Amino acid sequence: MDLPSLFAAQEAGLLNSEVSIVLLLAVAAAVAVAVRRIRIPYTVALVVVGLGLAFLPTDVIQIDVSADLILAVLVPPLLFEATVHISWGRLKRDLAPVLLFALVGTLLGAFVVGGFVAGLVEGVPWPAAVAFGALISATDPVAVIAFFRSIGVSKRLTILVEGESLFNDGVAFVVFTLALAAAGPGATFSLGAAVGQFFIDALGGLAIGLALGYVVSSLILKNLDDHLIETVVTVALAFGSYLLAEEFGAIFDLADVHLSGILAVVAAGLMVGNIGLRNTSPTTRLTLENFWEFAAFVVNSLVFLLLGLQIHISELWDKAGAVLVALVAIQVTRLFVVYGLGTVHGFAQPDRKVPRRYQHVMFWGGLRGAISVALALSLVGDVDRLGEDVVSTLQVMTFGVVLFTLLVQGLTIERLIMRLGLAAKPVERVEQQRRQARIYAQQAGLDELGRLHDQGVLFQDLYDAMAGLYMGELARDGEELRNHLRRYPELETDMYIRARTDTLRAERSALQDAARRGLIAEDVLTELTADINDHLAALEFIEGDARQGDIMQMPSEQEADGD
Amino acid sequence: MTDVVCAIRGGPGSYQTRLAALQYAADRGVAVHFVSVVDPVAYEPLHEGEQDAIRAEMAWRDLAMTRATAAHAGLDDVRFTVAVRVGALADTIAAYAREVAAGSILIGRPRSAADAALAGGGAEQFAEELRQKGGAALVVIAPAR
Repeated sequence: MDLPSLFAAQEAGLLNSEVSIVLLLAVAAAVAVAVRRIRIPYTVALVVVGLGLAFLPTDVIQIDVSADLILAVLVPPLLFEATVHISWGRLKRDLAPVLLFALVGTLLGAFVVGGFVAGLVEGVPWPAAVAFGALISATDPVAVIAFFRSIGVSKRLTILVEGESLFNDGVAFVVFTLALAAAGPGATFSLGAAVGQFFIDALGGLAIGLALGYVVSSLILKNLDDHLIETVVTVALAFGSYLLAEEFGAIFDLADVHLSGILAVVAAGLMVGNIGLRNTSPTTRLTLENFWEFAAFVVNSLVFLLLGLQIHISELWDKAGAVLVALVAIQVTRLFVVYGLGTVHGFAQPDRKVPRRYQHVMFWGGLRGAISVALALSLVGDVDRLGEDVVSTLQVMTFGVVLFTLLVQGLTIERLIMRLGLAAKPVERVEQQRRQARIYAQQAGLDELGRLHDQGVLFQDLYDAMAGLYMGELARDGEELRNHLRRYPELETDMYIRARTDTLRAERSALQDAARRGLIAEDVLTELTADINDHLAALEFIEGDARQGDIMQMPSEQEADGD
Repeated sequence: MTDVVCAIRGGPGSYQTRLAALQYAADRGVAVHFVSVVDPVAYEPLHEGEQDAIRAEMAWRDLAMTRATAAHAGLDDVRFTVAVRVGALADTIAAYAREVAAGSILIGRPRSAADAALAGGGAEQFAEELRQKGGAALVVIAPAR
């Protein structure tokens, strides 16, 4: 093919991909609009729609799904966004159970599920079965956390679920990679070498993420005050930490060294969320949060829809036996992991044991989602080693499990949380937010009215009349809010914590502003910012402590809730 | 009449406990000393700056919330103090009661039969322990709703 024809062909391919992505985004937006009306999680709806997409003619959506596209392009934003919200202060208090569930639980999951699959599903060799066990052990908290937020579940339960998910993504990916390396004709496997490689992968990945995250947080985010540049820097960090870890061996001519890109992104996200964002202005924080929320939304949508395109519902039916084996295997393993390891942890750390009610939620809330799907999709790069049929079986099993956990567990987890009494009075809370939002909006309207008046746009008489109406509404809604808080005084504590957090953040921003203007020296800024950060961490501590209940209830609720 | 110590935690029921303590003190014309007790297991591993911040923020919260509670109930005239202590719950409350020479100690009661049932014997055991160690009359405050 001559050069112009090659360019023309590439251009056509690029255009096809662009059209396909636009179509997928349009579908995702339509699904997002639809789920506002029917109260089901977005990811559940995407899975259902994804199944339907497989019926479209093959030339409608043409995207070359490669392992690189999935792992290097789609996975980093998903993980970075999930990590940047996690408070290290909270996570470190429950680091022991989180790491136990994520590390031991995922290893157990990989081998036990792998054993089930290798033994019961025809044609799937051991390494491929373990790779499936690893990819399906990665839990996805997106749908569950959305419920947690809407019904006010304790922050400790939230951090346990989110923390486990983040680290088990990394562990699952490392085991997945090692298992695949042992697959295929001529591949050899040594347990000692695999264990060594596992630790090099994991620790190396974490070290790269921590180092890059620290540099970006303390040197760039701290000293810049430009929300656009800071957002671009975090994008470079998310993808850069992944690529540097994955390509570490190639870059530094260490052919045998491979480091975990996923764990690098997790560590970098934790650094930015806990150090970088503390050093940024409110505008930057808001921009970053909005950008990453958007990025995660797009990627989540694409991942689920792409899987839908890869799988045909007829394959799901043809391989129903394999899907059933996978489903039984993951439930048995999850049962053992959550309750077994939960009990072991309870003995080792009795004062921080994970309450039984939390364990029920962690068991049934162990949904599988985007990371499992992304890893399954990445198997297209292993067709030569595993064979097309094995890859197809693993992908169908993944889809079946994800479909079941999202549809059955995802749609019943809310009821379970309610039955276990872990929801914090959502109706009163929503009502409080509604009343507060009205006051907030009215106050903004009144402020704008004052501005218009000051600018001479509004004459005095009209201003007085309109301001009078606003103030009447404000007084009425303010009184209603006060009455509501008298009826549900516990809401006032939440309000206090939020207000105090906001005021401390405002103090921190003011200090940064003072430093930028040269009013205070860098060391004074560092000292006073550290003090405010301690106070913010203290508020998180107090919030968790208060949820134990009041003095008389402490022995009981500590046993029951433990946060 | 001697002053009253009221142990609070800032949890969902603390408004009722605070309110009842202010009312109790107002009825008797005494001051009420609120004390928040921090669990040393979670507190001690933290560095000094964080520990200082926790004590300061707890005192801020207790001052703000008690002032708001007093204002709601029209009990602004009741004298009160707030303190934060670290240690085992019953021992610390008892020691604080001795420190301020309180005649009685007020604590909240489980809010519902379900809470009490969940507590098993825990709540009663705690009250009994405090009764023995406190050196002051123990008053268990019933929730208002």
